[in-house]
Parts: sequence; structure tokens; C-alpha cells
Amino acid sequence: MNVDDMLRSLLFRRFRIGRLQFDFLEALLAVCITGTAYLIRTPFEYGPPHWTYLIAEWYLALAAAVLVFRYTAGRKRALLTYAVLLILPTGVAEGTILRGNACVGALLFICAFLFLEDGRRWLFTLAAAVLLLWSVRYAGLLAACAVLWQKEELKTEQFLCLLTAGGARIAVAYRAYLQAGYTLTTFHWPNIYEIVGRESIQGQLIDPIALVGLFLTAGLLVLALWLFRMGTMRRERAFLIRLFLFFGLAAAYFLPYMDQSCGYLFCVLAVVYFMLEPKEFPVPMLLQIVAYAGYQECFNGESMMPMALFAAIQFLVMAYLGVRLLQEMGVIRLWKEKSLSTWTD
Amino acid sequence: MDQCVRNLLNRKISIGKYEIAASEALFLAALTLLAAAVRVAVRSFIAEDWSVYWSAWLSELETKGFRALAGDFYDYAPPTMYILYLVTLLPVNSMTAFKGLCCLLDFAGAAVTGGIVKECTGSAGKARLAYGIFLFLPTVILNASVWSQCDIIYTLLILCSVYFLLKNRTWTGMWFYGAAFAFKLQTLFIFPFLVILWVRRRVDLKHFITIPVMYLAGILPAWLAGRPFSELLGIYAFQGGKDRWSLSIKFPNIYQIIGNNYFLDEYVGAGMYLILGILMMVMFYIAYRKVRVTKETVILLILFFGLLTTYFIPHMHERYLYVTDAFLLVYGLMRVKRFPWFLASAFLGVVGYAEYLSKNAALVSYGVLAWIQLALLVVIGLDLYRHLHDPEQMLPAEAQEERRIL
Repeated sequence: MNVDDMLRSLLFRRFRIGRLQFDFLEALLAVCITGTAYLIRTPFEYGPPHWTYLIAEWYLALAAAVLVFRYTAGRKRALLTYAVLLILPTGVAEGTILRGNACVGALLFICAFLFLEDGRRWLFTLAAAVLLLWSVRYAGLLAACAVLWQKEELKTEQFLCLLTAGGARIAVAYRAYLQAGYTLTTFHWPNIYEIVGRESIQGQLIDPIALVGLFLTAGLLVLALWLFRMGTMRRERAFLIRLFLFFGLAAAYFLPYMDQSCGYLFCVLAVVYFMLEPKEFPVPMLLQIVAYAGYQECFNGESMMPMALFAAIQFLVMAYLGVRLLQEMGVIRLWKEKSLSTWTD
Repeated sequence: MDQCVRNLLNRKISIGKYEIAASEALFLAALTLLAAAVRVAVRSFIAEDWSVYWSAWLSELETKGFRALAGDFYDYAPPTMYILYLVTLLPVNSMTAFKGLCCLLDFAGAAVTGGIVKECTGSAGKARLAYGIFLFLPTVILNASVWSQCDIIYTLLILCSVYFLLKNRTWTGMWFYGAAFAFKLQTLFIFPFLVILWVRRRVDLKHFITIPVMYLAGILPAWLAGRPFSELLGIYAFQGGKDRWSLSIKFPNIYQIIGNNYFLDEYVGAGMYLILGILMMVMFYIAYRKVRVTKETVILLILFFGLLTTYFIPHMHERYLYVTDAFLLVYGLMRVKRFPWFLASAFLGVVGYAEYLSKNAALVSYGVLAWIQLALLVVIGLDLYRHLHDPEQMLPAEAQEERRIL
């Protein structure tokens, strides 16, 4: 065997450490991508983030990889999830450039999902409740939990815990936001306010646009829940991810005073979603561009392209996810059968 | 008379082993003449690059001769400077001579593109079509005969490299690739395809020796002229440090969407690490796909890596799609339904050329062009994905791979 063939066979040679099996090439990618992930965080003015956040970002990638492995039993998909999340541009923008902590929220969510996958519902409830308390930007996930409760995947007491945590966070946050006198209704997050106009109405005790936006979000989510109630719950893993992605995005799209860091969790979730359904690649790709455009506007004070364009793209992604969910749950079929004009129950 | 002319046109002409109908030969001759005419017509245009850089380099070479290469006034790879030096020895206007040489290479590039198309499709008609289209690509015409740029040199070498690789003449192909690298760093955009060919046993490690050998051979004369060896080794690193006034220099890539005027230094490092990470993942994925390596596989790999790298690397110039345009033409003729994408790509390049040459702002936003370029990248990526998952192309795990491109 010559050197070439020896090296080629080495690339695909299987190694075993305890219960862990891996090819040399897999180990090589894991090591190299970890190094690259560190290096990609070094060129910026303040260098890499504090080591605790570095560990959190690394652990997030690892946890997401474990989640994908449990869902697909595919080692390569899991490894690619780990690799993509380590060098995800929004991850670098949030942790390294902005010095933000959205990775903690994403980590909490992935951990919650792992507990859900294990069937440990109370631990899921606990992690999700902490997440809801952590930031109001995750409020939409509460609606996804409501669907799980409707379909008896969560117990009433578990859902009530989540409702209390989410409700408390929303109440506290918006009590402060609405009276803060902000001049904008969105902070570099390309949502509906980038289309209808992001300037707040000044000279009022409370900005009416933001107040309407808040109730509009609540109304739309309840309407969506009512629609989802008609359908049947699917057991596929991608369905669950899609459900959380849709409700998370929907809430952040209509809630006022959201910021660029909203996109972080959804970008992570979209990568997991892509690994479960590779044909859905436009979802993570477009979300990544949209979210990064928000970060870029935050850093630079101006956007290369109109933010309304990114908002429109995000709306299309969200609408696509919503329609797919309704199709899968059989709601659209049901509506077609019961033609609206003749629907009498 | 009518019948006589028709008979004449249908008569077969033999040139060595090559046989061609007189009408086809006439068609090729007309195309060649027209292509030459358009290049002659625009030869006197003086681009800013010529008046600022090239003419200064030429006057240095004219006054000091070959010894001038010892200086650090140039940031192009030395082989390009040797061509400039040879140009100074000719008894004609330097710009005309340089443009003339590059235009001659345009014709050679068109012929090799035709050769690749013939190799990939087996159709002589498509090969002739490729020859004609390449010669009349606006970016090809503008690059050499108007802008006095020399992207055709390394493109031609890459085209020759791929042509010989497809003919399974690996050493010849790799020597050409090494020569292309000696001329331009941009050759590396498509380098990952060679790594995949190595994994799939189509090239061996020994073949990669051609790259450093040709690079060293390329800098040797400049070293003999007196330029320090360490400087010559690092000339590409020096090139990378220039043009840092925009993340994308009229090139439709991701920076035209997310912003190209900020983090100019930071994104140099971050962008390079990002594309490195992306390439690692892509190569990892492809390495595990045990498929027959066909000519289409090779063309798709070159296209995909060419488009992918340029989409994420910062400080790309509008001219850097030159190589991928040539291969998109080949692919468009292999898969005719993809031909509109070749036209779209050719149009994307022209916008940047036109802005540079006319000094007027582009009428189309580069952001829009960048979305089109992204769509092109996705289309080619999907084609590659489907190709790698095609049951007809997949080999059983235990199958011994052939050592040639099918």
C-alpha cells in the first residue's frame, strides 16, 4: 500500500474510545472546526468573549449536536450541526462583537428540548420556565407549549407553570418598555415595524402603536392556537422543531421593542431543523442572513439594504413554516372539506 | 451557381485528424474575425489601472531592464512581470502589445473551453458554440482589450489544467494548475476540488508537488534579478493586505447584502476563517459520498467551490468570476436548462466592469445582484447535491474506485 492509499484509508478508519466510535476524518473535522471557531472570534477589537461565554457557546453547539444525534442517529449530521453552530455568524456577532448573552437563552432552550426528548417533562418545564423568565424575546415559545398542552403532550400544571413564568416576564417587561419613551418600536430586528414604520409616536403617555402591537401579537397567537387545535399532533421530530420555530418567530415578528438578539435562538433552531430536514435549507439560510443584517445594522448604524426587505423575507419564512404546520396537522384539508361559505358545524 | 455554393459549403475539410464542414469552418472564421475586430476597435481605451499601475511598472522595466524586478514596486506575481518585461522589448506600443497578447490568449481560452465542452458532451457543435460564446462574453472582451487586465492568463492555465485532468493526463493537468498558481493566487478558489479528487484516488500527493515547483520556478528569475527570496515567497500575502477600502469591490457577494463598509480589517480574518470552516464542512460531506467521478462531477465541483469561496471571502474584485464564468458556460452547454444561469452570471460581472470603466454608478443595486449570485450558488449546490446522491453514480461501499475520470 502506498502513502496515498494509507492516508486515504486512515481518513475513514474507525476508532473506538469506550462506547464512542468515530472515523479519523470526523475527529479531524471536530478538532479543526473547534480551532477555527476560536480563531474566528479573535480578529475583533475586544478579542474572544469571556471564557464562560465561550464555554456556553461551545456547549450550545455540543448540546444541539447531541439533540440531532438523538433525533437522527446520524453521527455525521450531529458533527455537522456542531461545526455549523460553532462558526455561525450570528453566534460570533452576538457573543464576540456585541458581547451579548443570547447563547445562554439558546442553551436553555436546547437543554429543554433534550429533556422533552427524554420524556422528562418537569425538567423541560423547569428549563423552559427559566428561559421565559430570562427574556421576553422568547415569549412565542409559550404559544408552542400551549399547542403541546392542547395535544396532551404537557400536563395542565406544567403548562400553568410556563404560563405563569411567561406571563410574569411579559407583564414586567412591557410595563417598563411602554413607559420608557423609546423612539423606536424595533431595535435592529427586521420585523413588521420595519415595514409599517419603526418610529414611535412621541408625546403620548404610552406609544399606541406599540400597545396595539402587543395586543395584536397576543390576538394572533390565540387565533393560531385556535387553528392548531383543529389539527392532529404529529410525532415527527422535525414537526416539533418547526412548531417552536414558527411560534417563536411569529411572536418576535409582531411584538414591539424586540432587538437584534431575537434572531440568535431561531438561527440555532433553524440549523437543527435543517439537519433533520435537509431539503428545508432555505429556512436557516434566509434566517441567518436576516438576523445577521440586524446585527450589522446594530453595529454600524445603517443597513446595506432596506430593513423592510429583510422583514419581508422573514415574513415569508414564517408564513411558509405556518402553512406547512397547518398542512401537516390536516387543518388546511379540513378547511377545504368544510368550505367556508357552507360551514355550519 | 446556387448548387455550386451549397456543395462547397457542405464539403468536408480535413486538417490532420480533424474533419469539419466548410460551412462550419466559415462560421468559425467569421466568429474569429469578428472577435478580433471588436478587440482591435477598442484597443486604444486607457483604463485607470493602466495609467496608474501598469504604465508605471512598464516605465520602471524600460529604464532599468530586467534588473528592475529586484525592486518592490510591483505586487503582481513575478511571471506577469516577465511578460511585461518582454512587452517592453517589442517595437510596438506597450499597451497595444500587452492587450494584443492577452487577446490572443482569449482565443486560446475559447479553444480550450471548446475542447472541454467536446470532452464533456462529445458534441463538436456545442464545442464550436462554446468557442464563439466565450469570445463574445462581455467580461472577456472588456477584461483584456478594454481594461488591459490579464485574468485570461491564469484562467487559460486553469482551463488547460482541467482539460488535461478530464483526459486523465494527470501530470500535465497538474503542471498547468501549478503554473496558474504561479500567476495568480485566485487559482486557490477552486483548489478544494483537487483535494476531493485526491480522496477519490484521481490524483496522488506527488502530483501536488507541481504547485510549489511552479511557484518557485516562477519567482526564480526575479530572485536572480535581486529581489529578496522571502519577499517573493510572501508576495501573495502582500497582495492580500491591499484593497482594504471595501469588503466587496463591486463584487456581488454576501458583503453587498450585510454591509461592505465596516469592520474592514476584522472581517479579513473572520471572513477567511468562516470560509475555511465552511470548506472543511463541505469537503467532509463530499469526501463521504462514494460516487463515480465523472466529467460532470469535476465541472460541478469546480463551479461550486469557485462560487462558494468568492461569495464569502472579503475584498473580492468584480473580475474574480472570470474562471467560474468559463466553467458555467461549459456546464450550461452540458445541462442546457442551466444555460440561463450562465447568462445571469455573465450579466452580474458586466455591471461591475461597466461601473469601473465608465466611472458611473451602477444602475442596478449590488445587493440585488448579490441575491441573484446567492441563487446561482444554491442552484449549483443543489445540482451537486443531486449528483452526489444520484443512485446511478453511487458506488457500493466495498467497490474499488477507478483511478480515472469517467
